[in-house]
Amino acid sequence: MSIQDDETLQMYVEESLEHLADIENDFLAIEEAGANIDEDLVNKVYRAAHSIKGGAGFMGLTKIKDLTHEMENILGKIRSKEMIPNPEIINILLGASDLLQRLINDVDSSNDMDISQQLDALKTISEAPDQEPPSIETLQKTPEIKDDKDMGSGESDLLSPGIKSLAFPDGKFAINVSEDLISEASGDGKSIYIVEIDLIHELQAKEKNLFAFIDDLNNTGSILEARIKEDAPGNLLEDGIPEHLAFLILFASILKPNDINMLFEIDPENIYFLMEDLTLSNLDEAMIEKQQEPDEEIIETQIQTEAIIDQPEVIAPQMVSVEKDTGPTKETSPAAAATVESSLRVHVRLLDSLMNLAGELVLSRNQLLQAISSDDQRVFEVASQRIDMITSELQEAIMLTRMQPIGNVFNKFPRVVRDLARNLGKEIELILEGKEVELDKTIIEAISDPLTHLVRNSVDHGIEEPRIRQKNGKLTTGTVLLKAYHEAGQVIIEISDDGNGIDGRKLADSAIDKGLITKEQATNMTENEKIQLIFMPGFSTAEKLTDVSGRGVGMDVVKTNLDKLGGVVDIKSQVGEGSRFRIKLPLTLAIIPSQIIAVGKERYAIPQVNMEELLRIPADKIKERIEKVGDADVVRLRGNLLPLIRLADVIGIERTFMNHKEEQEDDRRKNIADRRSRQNINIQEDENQSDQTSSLQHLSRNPKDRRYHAASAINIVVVSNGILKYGLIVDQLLDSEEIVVKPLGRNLKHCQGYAGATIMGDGKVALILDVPGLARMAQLTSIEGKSKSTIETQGGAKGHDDLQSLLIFRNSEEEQFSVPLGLVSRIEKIAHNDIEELGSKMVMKYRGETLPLVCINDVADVHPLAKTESHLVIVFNLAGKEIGLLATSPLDAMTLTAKFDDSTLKQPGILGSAIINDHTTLMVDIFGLVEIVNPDWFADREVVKDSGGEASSILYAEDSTFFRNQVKGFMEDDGYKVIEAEDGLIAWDLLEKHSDKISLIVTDIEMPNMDGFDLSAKIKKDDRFSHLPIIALTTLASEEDTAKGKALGIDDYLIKLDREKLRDSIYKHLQSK
Amino acid sequence: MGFYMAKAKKKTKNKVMKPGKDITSSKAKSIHNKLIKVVEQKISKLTLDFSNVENIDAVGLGLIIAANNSLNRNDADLILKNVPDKINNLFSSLRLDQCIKILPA
Repeated sequence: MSIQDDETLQMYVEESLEHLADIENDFLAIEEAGANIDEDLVNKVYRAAHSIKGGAGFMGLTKIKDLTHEMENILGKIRSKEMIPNPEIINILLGASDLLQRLINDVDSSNDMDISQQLDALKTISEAPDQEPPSIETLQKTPEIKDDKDMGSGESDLLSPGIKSLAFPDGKFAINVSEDLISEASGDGKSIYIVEIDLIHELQAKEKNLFAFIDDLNNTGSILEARIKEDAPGNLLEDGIPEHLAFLILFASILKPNDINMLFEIDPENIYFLMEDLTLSNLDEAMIEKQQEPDEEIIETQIQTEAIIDQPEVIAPQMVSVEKDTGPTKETSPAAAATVESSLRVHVRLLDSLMNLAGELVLSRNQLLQAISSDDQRVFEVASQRIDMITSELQEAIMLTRMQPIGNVFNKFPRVVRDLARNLGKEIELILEGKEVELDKTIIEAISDPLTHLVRNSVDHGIEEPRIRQKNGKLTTGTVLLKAYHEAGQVIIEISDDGNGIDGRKLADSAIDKGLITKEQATNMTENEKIQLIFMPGFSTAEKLTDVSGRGVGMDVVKTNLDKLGGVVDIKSQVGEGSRFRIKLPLTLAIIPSQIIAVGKERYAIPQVNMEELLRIPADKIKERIEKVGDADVVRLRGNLLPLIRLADVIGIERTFMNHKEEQEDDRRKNIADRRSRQNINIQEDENQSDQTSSLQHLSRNPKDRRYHAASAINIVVVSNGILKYGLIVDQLLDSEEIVVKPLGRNLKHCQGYAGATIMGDGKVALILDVPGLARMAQLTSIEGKSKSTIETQGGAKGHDDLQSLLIFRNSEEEQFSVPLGLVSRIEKIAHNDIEELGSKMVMKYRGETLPLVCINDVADVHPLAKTESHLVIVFNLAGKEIGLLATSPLDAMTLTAKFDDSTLKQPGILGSAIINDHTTLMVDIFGLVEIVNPDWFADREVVKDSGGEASSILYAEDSTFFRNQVKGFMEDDGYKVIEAEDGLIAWDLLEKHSDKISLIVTDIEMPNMDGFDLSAKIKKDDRFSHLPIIALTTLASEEDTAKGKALGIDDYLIKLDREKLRDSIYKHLQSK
Repeated sequence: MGFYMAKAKKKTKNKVMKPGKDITSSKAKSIHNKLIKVVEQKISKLTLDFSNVENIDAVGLGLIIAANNSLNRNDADLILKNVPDKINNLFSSLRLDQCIKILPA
């Protein structure tokens, strides 16, 4: 038979794909059940393969037929328990079903495809000797040749081998047929029936043509065997013209039990269905059984509909096939494949309601027309109200036709997870929740890839190998949970696993290695921010590259794809406990709730999915709340700094503001916090404007300054795409509205700040803002303000030189200085005039008090402070008192590894030097300097004695010679004995050796061989030493490190070179010991 | 022996009938009558020449089988010859060839 007409073929393809969508998960379930097979399930899969094969045979799709035939053979063996479905077998079956899917998807050229490999694989299994010979019991149970009583003839004894006698159960008569013929027919995917038809009474009487009848039989199947019941017509003499001619037929057909009687139109009792075990079942029973397959009742009605609603992506007119309302008995099976479908199933009830609404709309239109012609205002109003209502309902109903269960996507994951887990040698259970949650078809199709990526990631990177899980006290089987639910008008999809979580530190390290961020940035990042690094382009943490992931593309692609959908993703992760990706998606892309804002004379829409909150900063609070960091504006929001973007600047339009007369005026301010007056810009740019009010009081303000007018408050829309959160400064906040998304024209496609457009109620166009796009345009990255300073390794630094966070500044043009950043409390910019000289001492008024000032050249032999109009004041808090160090710009903060030389340039007030940015940089000894200028500041402390009455001994571990010498000096100055160690390991040895002497441990964190954390952990775990206080010194005191240290039992966490704090801490801890 | 031979020879009397183009219910009555006449003649073999037959229906088929039954009861055979392809195909689909000897055209 040749390939039939397109429509039939199309139906076959759709039906087969549905069978396949199920088959995959069923195979997995069969695999799971193992030897303890679920017969119903195996039967179901068998039937699916069988149906596909049947159609293929009918349509002449030989490759599909051959493949399904072999699959069926194996399934047959599984069903008869001749074969236990082990993972290898299921693997091959899954492979075959994949191939089958490809063949069916490309059904036209399926006959030319090479399937020999899969076919051989299948044959190898099916022909392999049985894994377990079936037990005698099984053999006996297997219904085969029926006994004489059932056969209605005594011929069975005489039957030659391979011939079966099939008889009507009532024993009316039997038919003999070769077994080969039956297996061949069922091998073709056909159903086999035994039918008794009276050709005269049931055929002729209905005016049916005998030839046509036989043709029908031959076209829909094949007659395996037939018998005319010869005695029925009787004898010519006695019985006259024959009235009965019984014809018994063994018929193999592609027609299903439900349809077979369309052919015969006889009493169904005379049709029997031959089961695979060669027993006969009544057609009615066979029909019930077949009905359990989900697809049987769906009557496909193909209706051409047009996409009524504009989609962000143009959607071609769609085929809608309609599922007849079968009442509450059966749920629509979400069996469709996750691939892009050109047709979709819609409930008849929904179409009915659409039809109703369309009807009502017509009526309302008539009413409206009438109102217009009669000029009746009242009718007019009623009609417009009705149209309003109907439109909303219509919109809702049409949206519903596009809604698809997320199960369509979820259903493919059991296979994905299983295959991956097998490849990676992991044990993983996948839990799917909320399959019934519905989303717009466009989103369902587009979400598939990002979700697959995230699930694969969880399996590959998240869940640990069973061995490791066991070691960590977890169940060897990991769990991946895929869950969808509604929340606040949006759909949330969560992918969570109980794996090893994402280690923010590792991510940050990796990002630093790849040059994506600097160390300085990394130290300033919270754990959550570090985790979000995973979405940066060019990121991958897989320690070894697998074919699964670790290609360094991916997560950023996931992010981009979700952005396109208007989705937002965020991550929560706990090292050792697992991670959770949470995707927030709009229900549909066509109509979205959004906030309308205005800038200049234009209105824009911001999708609410991107909006976190609206912020209005009253005019008189602007200066307090909005600050400038570098050249970026930020706003203080609940203790965090939020970067600000002025929308007008980014999209390049004139800013306006409402003046006190409620008129729109151009806004000329350069900085957000600027006042009208252009005086004293420098001071305004200071970080602590609010603290400077006293020095600003003399500046007069115009009482009509717009900042006193409520309308000139700053409106900020806080937006976020999950990772990046920023404030968008807009001129006006208008309504929130549901807008219909219109795609941007081709010419505007490249404008990255816009996601689309919409038409407002007044007919004007408003552009929809693309939140991530605007951030890109403003060059805002999640790692804020990627600074120019880079990590440098200079002066032949050894591999384990400490990272130092230093503040670099100058005193004069000639010399560069540095101080540990950790010691600096803040930096002020002051005018030279603000400095008051009292005798030999310099002071300035600061926060209502007098701040003493020092210059490096007061103590050290360096160039004097350059005479400039303004100075920097670096404020230190030493021994509870504040002191300002005068300096000049440029000012820079950097984190670097540098080797300090503590001999060549050492002098009072200078600890030593290092080469930074090709400049010899002097490290200022701020304590030494202050001590010289104000000797009375640092009170001598009594040395805490140990039990032997001697000065206590302190074990000090530090790998950098420079710091070791410095810190050791501080401690020895106080009178303590110091035992030095160059790394943690040496420190441990020394501790064991001098265990009786040592009263306290001071340790660096970053050290070779054994770092400070490991050393502390070892000490605290050892009963001999656990009582010893440990003080950790670091240059990088991130919150995370501090927390980690505290958890390990470190008693205090200090900045290196903070002499006073260290002295205090040592004193305190030794005292309380 | 000779007598028996002669008797046997007599018994092997062949009869050939050539039905018209329809062996259908409309012609059933006349065909039935003709067949009865032939069967009553104690022949040993009835050959139906299907050369002219174009159409046959279930009743016609029933007649042929009934004729065969009647002939068989008398130890006589029915042979269908010159059966056109179309009808031959029908007969083989019905497995009529299992009980009646059919010679295709």
